[in-house]
Amino acid sequence: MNFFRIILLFPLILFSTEEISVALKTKSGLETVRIIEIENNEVFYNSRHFKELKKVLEFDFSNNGYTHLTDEKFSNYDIKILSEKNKFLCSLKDKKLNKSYRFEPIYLSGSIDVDRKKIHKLSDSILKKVFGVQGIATTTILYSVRKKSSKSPNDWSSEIWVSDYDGQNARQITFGEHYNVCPTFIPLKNIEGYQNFLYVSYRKGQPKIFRASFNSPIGKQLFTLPGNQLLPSVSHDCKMVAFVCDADGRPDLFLQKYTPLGEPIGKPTQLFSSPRATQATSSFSPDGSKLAFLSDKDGSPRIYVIDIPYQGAVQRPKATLISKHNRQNSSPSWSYDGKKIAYSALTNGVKQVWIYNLETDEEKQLTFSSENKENPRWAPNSLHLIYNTEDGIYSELYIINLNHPNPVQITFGTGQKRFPSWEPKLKKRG
Amino acid sequence: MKGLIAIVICLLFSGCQRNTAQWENVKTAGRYVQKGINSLCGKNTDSYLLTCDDDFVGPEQDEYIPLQDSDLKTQFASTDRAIPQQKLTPAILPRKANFIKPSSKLADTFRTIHFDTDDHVVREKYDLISVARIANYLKKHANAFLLIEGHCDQRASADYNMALGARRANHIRVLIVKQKVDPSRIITVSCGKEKLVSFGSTPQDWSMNRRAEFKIFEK
Repeated sequence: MNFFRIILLFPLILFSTEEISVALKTKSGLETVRIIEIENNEVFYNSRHFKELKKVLEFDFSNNGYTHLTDEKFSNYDIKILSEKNKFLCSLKDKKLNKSYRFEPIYLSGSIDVDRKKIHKLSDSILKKVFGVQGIATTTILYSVRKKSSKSPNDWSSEIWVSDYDGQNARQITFGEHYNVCPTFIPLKNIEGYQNFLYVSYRKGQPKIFRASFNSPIGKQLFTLPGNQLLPSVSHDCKMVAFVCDADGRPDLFLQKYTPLGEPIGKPTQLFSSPRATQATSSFSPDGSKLAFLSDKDGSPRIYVIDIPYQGAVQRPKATLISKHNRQNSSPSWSYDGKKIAYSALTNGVKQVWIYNLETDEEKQLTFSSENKENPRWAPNSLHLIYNTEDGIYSELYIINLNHPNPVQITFGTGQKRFPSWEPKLKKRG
Repeated sequence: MKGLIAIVICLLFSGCQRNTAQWENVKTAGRYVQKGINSLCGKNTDSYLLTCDDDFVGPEQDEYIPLQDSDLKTQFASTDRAIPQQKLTPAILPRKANFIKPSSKLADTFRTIHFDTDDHVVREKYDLISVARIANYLKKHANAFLLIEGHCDQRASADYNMALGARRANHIRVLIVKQKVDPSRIITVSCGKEKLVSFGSTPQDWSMNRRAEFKIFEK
């Protein structure tokens, strides 16, 4: 039967003036994109520069959570790119709707670091145009890199670094061979973007929380509380900072409230403590009404959620257990859409990333590979996560998205990369 | 009847040894039962009367607003009472770099103390004797300051271990302060799993890493 169909259709195919394209839905549910490079000899910069930029675009469309690349002719979308003098030209054909879009030309600088950012911006523009969603290609990642200290072979140093979301363009922010960990973006945007962050530094002996910026990385100590100050988290409206401190003799959860101008309101409040318990990482709900945190108050470390009292708590708030599936949990992170909490949990002897769905009260394992995974942190689109692997010797950063949970390693080379923090929500870009 | 009880106990314990999860269940259930008993005995009152200064060393009220839950002050008083950290002026507080490992002569006094997995309580008799020796040393040397570093093994996550390290260091601080040593002379630092001494993955390696180390400074 098929043989007769082919015989009948063969003349049509031969004499057809237009290509017959059949959009195939892939198994994963992601749309297929083909990136086609148009040859042009009229270029300012060498072809290697152009190839590098093409790779950036390819990475973005392989990892945006909505599309994946294909070399097949029958893709859902074709992106054509062309280098003309110092311009990077791009057009897109939506084969399903049979529509074509031409994007503003990108004027290249010749510096790969600068031009990479421009291509990321283009990727997000395309995603916004086609899918109506905010991309994360223009976002950055803060993390710490732990290395053997050059001062003493038995000592370690840890410094704060920042990179693009794909791990490229990495640069060191803090210097001095101190021990700096747990960087977290402050969702406060200035002209240059999100450049303020909190981090924990051991440079005064005891670990203390510092507020710093990319231009002023030493920063200022945030709290005068005595003891160890650890694991800060910032609410999405910047009006609250939660952290762990042993000022009362135990590692308890504390909360400091701020005015919209960033002035502290009163003193820090001891938010959660329990006689035999250790409290650790916390994460605010997007509306700032709740806090997810780690505690071993009922035995092994698990994730709990509490309501944040409007005024200072006198009594400990009631904590609701959410991570019921596994015992050894850590590092909760509340998604920007408020619907999910990601955390790391020991699963069959390996620390894996799990997602707790607040709407269905269900927990789902996201990762399955054999490396231990810690510190999952959400991207502003609530679709992507970043985490670090940890085996005692090597630690690298990986990104993963819920639509296509295939982890992609974004850091390489020396040093243990840990405690990632994804740049917060970007409303005006794209 | 006694035989039956013995068999049940044996089965329970053998099950726990085979299965960590079951043991965790027993521990968790135990804590809830204790909470229930305390509740029935009226021990969950919101406030209580302090009978002496030693009953509760209050936080420095100018630094933070503390929770008022009574169990933070009374429950498990013997081993888990917390003693708030002291705010020390830089003039009094020696810099961490000034603290040094005790000399070999004092090595026996300032012996490293080890902990059980996921635990912050000093349980071994010889470790408690070490703590008593440290307290005696501090009492005899009024100009000496002590730095306690709390460390963890590499198995739990880095964030939880940072908090657990603080818990371990604070527990030893409490044991020393209970022996009449001024708390302002003791500084705690949590190192989590950031400073391992053994990088293997055997129970012995993990045991070596779950520790509290001591450094001293004398004016």
